[in-house]
Amino acid sequence: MKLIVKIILIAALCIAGLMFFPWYIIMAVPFIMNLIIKTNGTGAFFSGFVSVAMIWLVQAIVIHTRTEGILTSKIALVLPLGGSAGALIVLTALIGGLAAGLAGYTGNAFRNILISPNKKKKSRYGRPDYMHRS
Amino acid sequence: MRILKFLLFALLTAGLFHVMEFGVSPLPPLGKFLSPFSGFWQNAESKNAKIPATLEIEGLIEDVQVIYDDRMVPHIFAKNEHDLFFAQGYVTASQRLWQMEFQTHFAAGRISEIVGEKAIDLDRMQRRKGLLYAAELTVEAFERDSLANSILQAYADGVNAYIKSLKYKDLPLEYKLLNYNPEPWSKLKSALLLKYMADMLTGSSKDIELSNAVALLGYEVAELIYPDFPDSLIDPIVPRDVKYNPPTVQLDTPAVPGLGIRIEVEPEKSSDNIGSNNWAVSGNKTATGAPILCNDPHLQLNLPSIWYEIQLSIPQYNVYGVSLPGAPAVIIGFNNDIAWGVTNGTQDVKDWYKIQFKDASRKEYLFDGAWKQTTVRVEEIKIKGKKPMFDTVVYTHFGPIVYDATLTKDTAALNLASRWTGLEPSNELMTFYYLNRAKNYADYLKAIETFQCPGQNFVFASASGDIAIWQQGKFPLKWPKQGKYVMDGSSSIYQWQGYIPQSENPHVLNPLRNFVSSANQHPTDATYPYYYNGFFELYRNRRINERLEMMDKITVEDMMKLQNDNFNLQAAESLPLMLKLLGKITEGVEYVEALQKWNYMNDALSEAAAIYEVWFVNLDSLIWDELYIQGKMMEIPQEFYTVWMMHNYPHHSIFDIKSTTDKVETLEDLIQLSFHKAKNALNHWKEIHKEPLTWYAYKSTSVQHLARLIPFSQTKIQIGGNKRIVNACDSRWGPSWRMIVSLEKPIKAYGVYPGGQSGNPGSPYYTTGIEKWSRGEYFTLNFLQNPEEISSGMIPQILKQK
Repeated sequence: MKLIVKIILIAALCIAGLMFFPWYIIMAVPFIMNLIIKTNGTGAFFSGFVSVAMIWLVQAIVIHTRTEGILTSKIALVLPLGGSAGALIVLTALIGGLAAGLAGYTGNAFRNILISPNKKKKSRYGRPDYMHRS
Repeated sequence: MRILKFLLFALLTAGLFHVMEFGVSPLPPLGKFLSPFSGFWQNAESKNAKIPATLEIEGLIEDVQVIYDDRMVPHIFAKNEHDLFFAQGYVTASQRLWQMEFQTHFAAGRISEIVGEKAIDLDRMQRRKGLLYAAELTVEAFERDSLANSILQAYADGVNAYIKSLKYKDLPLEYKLLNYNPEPWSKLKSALLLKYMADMLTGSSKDIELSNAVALLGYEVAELIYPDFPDSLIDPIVPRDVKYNPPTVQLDTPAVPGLGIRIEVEPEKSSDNIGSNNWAVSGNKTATGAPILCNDPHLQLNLPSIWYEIQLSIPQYNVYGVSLPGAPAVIIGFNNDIAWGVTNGTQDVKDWYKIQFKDASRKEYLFDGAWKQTTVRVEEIKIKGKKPMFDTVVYTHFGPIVYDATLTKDTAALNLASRWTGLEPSNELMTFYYLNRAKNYADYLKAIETFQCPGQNFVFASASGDIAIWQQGKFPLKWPKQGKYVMDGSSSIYQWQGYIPQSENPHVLNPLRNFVSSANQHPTDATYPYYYNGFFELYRNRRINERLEMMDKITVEDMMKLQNDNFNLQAAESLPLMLKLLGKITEGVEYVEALQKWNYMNDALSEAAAIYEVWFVNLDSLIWDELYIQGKMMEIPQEFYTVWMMHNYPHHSIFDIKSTTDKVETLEDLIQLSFHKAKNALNHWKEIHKEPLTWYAYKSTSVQHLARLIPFSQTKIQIGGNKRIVNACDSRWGPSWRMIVSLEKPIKAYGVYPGGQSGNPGSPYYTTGIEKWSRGEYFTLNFLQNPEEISSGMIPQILKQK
């Protein structure tokens, strides 16, 4: 449940951030969010990956549709993806997801050294750590 | 352990960030590039995209009204000239910025900065030709002329206002793909563009090739196959009934012309495909009684197109036509009173001199028995991802040493200096500025008289009924054969002694035949009082003149047909002989039958045209086998002279194949052999392509992106013609803008070019004209008299002063 909240939170902050900041805001947001909000490593990666991959996927599809794919297949030949618009859209989502996921994972790893094992027994919400590992 | 894990992933994340933000050659930075919020996706444009109704721009004096028509041609209405050129710069940049900068980077020898070391040879050659040097001199010339200076500054300010408004997401696609940023525009860049054109049109003279031919074949054969002036065969620009006065300047002529020095240099490939057609017919020959002017310059077919269509209007004048992205004003076009167009005047204005240095330091060279000082320009060539390279270019009083041992890596190489009119300070731009506002023949004459390089045939027609053509340029005075071959740089007798007086440049006003025309042929017949040489076209002009001669009550449709005429005069003059000498054959009978039925039209769907062209190419390379020598600059004679040799000297030794020692071949043998080869080539083509043989499919015309990115190009376009044909479209070169202007009241004009107004491969306006162009159709040009003439489908925009 918390993972879903986090994904939504990251996604919302990324969308807002992309209006004002360069593309790498999608790395900064999951890094910070996973630094603040506790998750395990896998959750940290997925929170970043899923939220950004979704945003980039949706936006790419919207642009592709609105412009009748005028540029998609051309770029898919330059890159080279055999001219497949679908492959380029998926690649876009994967690249965004990967960058965000890795940043999220690193944010979590950073949290793990900042917060010592003793303090870690209790989370900010007063519940034992193990309760979140589900 | 945790720390180690964090460090590992921090490093991994940082590495990924680095790759995605800065890129790893040859890939673009994937994060930056693929982000749908700022990367390439943002360059995809929808057909229904809104153009903002107003834009606030710093630098305008008053508001400017721009109207974009349904092809995105901007019609700019300004209240003063500063704002006009400012807006031209701004609007042009908004559609063509990457191309503008790339072309000037190309001219300046700065492509290695963008693509890395693979472009070093190209960049070095550009520097050695002196294009950057010449552009710097041109800027000084601009700055001495306050009007020219203010026009160029306003244009540059307009471009820069646009560049300043850009964020990464707005950058043209190519910057994102090649991962670099635009730099501020400057007068130097406009000057570089003009030198780029001068170099393209006059920068490759054949002196070195012809010297090699003399060394190889002897002077007599060289003069036979590369004649200057086959007077009885040509159809000059100035009709033969025009009489010339005796020369007003006399020259010192040497006893022996500098001939036959063998030149061991690696070739810089030049194209013989550059050409153009223009003509104007007087009202006496048209259906409306008003003159009609036509022009189609033949250039390399690129995307974005070399031309950008535009209308420029201020209260004092109103002009429409095509501009060169990067330079103010309209280059080919019309206003309410006149129309003008250009073709290349292919007189040789670049000569080569062999320089003898005192020693390896190259600080002094021999000239008239004394040692003369050189100057040195050190060219810094920046290279992407590498340390810059420095190339020392030595300048003599002739011009730069282009070829030497440091370039060719061959210690035996000669030091060759070039003398080129393109390296002299000049201000060609003002010619166009004055043409834009010209009202009559006198204005036209005044506008063109300062034009130096590239020499152009300026065709002219006025609503008041005049037609005229001038070959205008700065043309050196030459004694016979001067500058046809590489000359001795140690004696003043070989240097240029002056220029043909401007008023004696070839020209004609309102000739008896009621039309003027040019298609890169000899400007005059042999009675012209001055010697000139060059490579002149010998087919298109004869076809055009023959057609114009025959026509009467000419309509715009007739002119459209003539611009798209596919008649292959070369085939008409060579195929009957080829078929006769071929005799009886047993294989490839179907090809001969197709040729016998052929009407000599190189139409897109013609099979016979493809057969003829393949056969002739094979024949040509068999005939000139002696000239295909590895690593030597050689020039294959023009097809016209090849055909002329076939008719007049069928037993000449050039027809012997040098590699066969047991036999002396004649023309007849070569025709049979080449047919056999052509038949095999055609059969092979059909096997591979699995489609019927047609001329267009064989020729496969493509309009290619400037960075040669095939996905951004259009290939295999269904169009006929060929070089040497009026519709001069071969596989990579062709009519780059077709324009027809009928100077009736009000003026009617038609035009089309193989590209679109937008330079963005993601725009619906990227290739607008290509289909119509290939079919020989035209757009009606919207020559608005005022902004109130806006019609449906057009979009108004106000550029507001900020």
